[in-house]
Amino acid sequence: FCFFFLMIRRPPRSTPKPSSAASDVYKRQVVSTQSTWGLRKMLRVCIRKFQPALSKLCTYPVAFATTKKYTKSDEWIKYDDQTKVGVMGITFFAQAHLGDIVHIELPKLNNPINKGKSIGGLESVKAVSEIFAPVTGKILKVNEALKNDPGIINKSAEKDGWIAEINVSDPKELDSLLDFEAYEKQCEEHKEDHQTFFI
Amino acid sequence: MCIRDSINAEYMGYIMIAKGMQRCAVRASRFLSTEQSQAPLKTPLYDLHVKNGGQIVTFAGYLLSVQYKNEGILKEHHYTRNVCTLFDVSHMGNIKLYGEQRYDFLERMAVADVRELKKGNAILSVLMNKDGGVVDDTIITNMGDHISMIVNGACKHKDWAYFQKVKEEEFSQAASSGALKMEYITSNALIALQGPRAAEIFGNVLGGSLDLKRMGFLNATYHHIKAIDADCMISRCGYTGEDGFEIAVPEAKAIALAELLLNEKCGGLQPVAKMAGLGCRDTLRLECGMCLYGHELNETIGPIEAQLSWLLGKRRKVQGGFYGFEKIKHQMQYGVSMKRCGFTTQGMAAREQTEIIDQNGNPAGKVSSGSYSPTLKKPIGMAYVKVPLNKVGTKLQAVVKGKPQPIVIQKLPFYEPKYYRAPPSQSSMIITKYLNLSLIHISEPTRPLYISYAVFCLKKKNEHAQS
Repeated sequence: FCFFFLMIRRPPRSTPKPSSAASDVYKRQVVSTQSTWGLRKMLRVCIRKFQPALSKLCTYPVAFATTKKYTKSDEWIKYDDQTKVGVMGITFFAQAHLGDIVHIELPKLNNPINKGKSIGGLESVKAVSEIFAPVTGKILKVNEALKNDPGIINKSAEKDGWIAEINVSDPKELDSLLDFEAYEKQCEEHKEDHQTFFI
Repeated sequence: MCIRDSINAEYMGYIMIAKGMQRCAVRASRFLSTEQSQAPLKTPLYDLHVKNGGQIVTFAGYLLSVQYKNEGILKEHHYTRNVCTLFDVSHMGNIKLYGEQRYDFLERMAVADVRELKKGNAILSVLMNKDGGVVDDTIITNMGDHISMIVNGACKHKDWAYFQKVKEEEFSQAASSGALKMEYITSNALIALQGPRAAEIFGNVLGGSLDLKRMGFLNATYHHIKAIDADCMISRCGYTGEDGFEIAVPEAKAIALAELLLNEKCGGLQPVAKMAGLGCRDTLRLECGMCLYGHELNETIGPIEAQLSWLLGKRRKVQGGFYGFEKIKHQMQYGVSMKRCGFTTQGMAAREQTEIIDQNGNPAGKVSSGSYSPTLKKPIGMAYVKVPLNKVGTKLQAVVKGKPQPIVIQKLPFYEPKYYRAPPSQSSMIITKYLNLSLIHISEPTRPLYISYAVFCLKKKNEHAQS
């Protein structure tokens, strides 16, 4: 077995009370971002490294057990194999090509979906686009915030601009999707197709 | 001068119907200009587009910018309406007419009262073909000893060929005797500065050498701009519905002038004007209900159907003299079957060529232009609809993605243009204020001497009418 221990550096005992000598220490405290960042990073590295062991020890799901994959039709899906739920959206590259998004047709809730089929639509000022299902499954939840402000996709396509949560029926379908390097390569190749280029 | 962008679906060309990673541009076929074999040309401001992160596309045979990095169509649209933006419209055509027969020549095609156009004034007009359709729309300016015309970028070669044809058929003698001469200008760039702060910015760059307060909408003048040491033609007009100027500048000085305008801080800490691309020009003009050649106007549509009968000069309505007059006269008397109107919808925008049906599913018309309106925050459009279904308030349906979607016919414009009106001169103000008379007209002076006479035509104000 392996074990590790964490040394947590505690701040010096102090009090804001003016009467106490320890209040000097309180005033002298400098919040060091550098050291806390180092601490967080160390924590993350440790947890990631010992994740398999940890998951046996801990009963709560660990936040880093997700895979992010990309489709040829510019969607991304972040799959959590603990909950079997995939969050999907369109990629940064896709929103950059569409331009300012003004309208979205969200996928229908509780609808069964099939990989590769159209489940919704996006409209920018100058273009229209379909949203294709990255995997087979069922729509559990949609991002209602996009109805009022579809521009969220332009600002944060791969985080706040998530479109739907899918209950993935066959996680093996994710293996046939592209990883980040492969997707980036595809984007480079297809740049010329559009007769436009970003400078 | 107003931009009248391209047509023939070239402009709509870059609607991308995305299908998977293909994201194939529907415009792929439409986007290529008629001079397909030639490589696209660069305007004098091309390097400025590149420097500002422009998304370059081919349009009317030129490399132009749709939008700019870190901006985008919506931001550029709002900035034009609220502050000021600079557009490169150098792809437009500029034709000059000289000689005493220039009025007769132009009036064979244009429907405006060209003879009555005063020096330094411009007017919007259409050039007609023999079938009563529109060849192109244009801004005609009287510059004194010649007429200057701005035409659409994609139509300019067609217009020039048409002019040559009319000249050979009907004005060959005038041409050979020197009574008619025409020139196709290629050495200028055209910059459009548009927005509520355009006058402030341009005034600062001019350094007070031109009194912009006395220059109203559709006034034009030649002016030597000291800051760039160049003779330019300045017109107070545009295609955005905001106050603004279109400046024809020699191509060698174009970037210098554009940079002066873009760097002007107006006494603040930051430059005020920003660059804007073709993308927001479409949304800006659509909100003001302005026609775009190739969409609302083409060789088969006339001014009556396009609801542009106000373009016909008072004298021309009676006298005619332009191609297709017989058909127009008939339409004025007996009406037309289809008319241009505006509409709003919900959900997806009803784009160009979308079918319109009535509540019973019968065909009622077709959309000519459709897009999302950033100012109104909903999809809008213009369409040709069967009379009387074009009446404001009529509820129809547009077939979008195979499904009918409700639309409502609206009054145009969606957004009221904010054109600048120069204040009346002091003398006319005195007359209007104190003598309860309206000044209608001041004649030319009787002789060019120190003591001269002029006739002032005054009219008693109607008590019931507004002053």
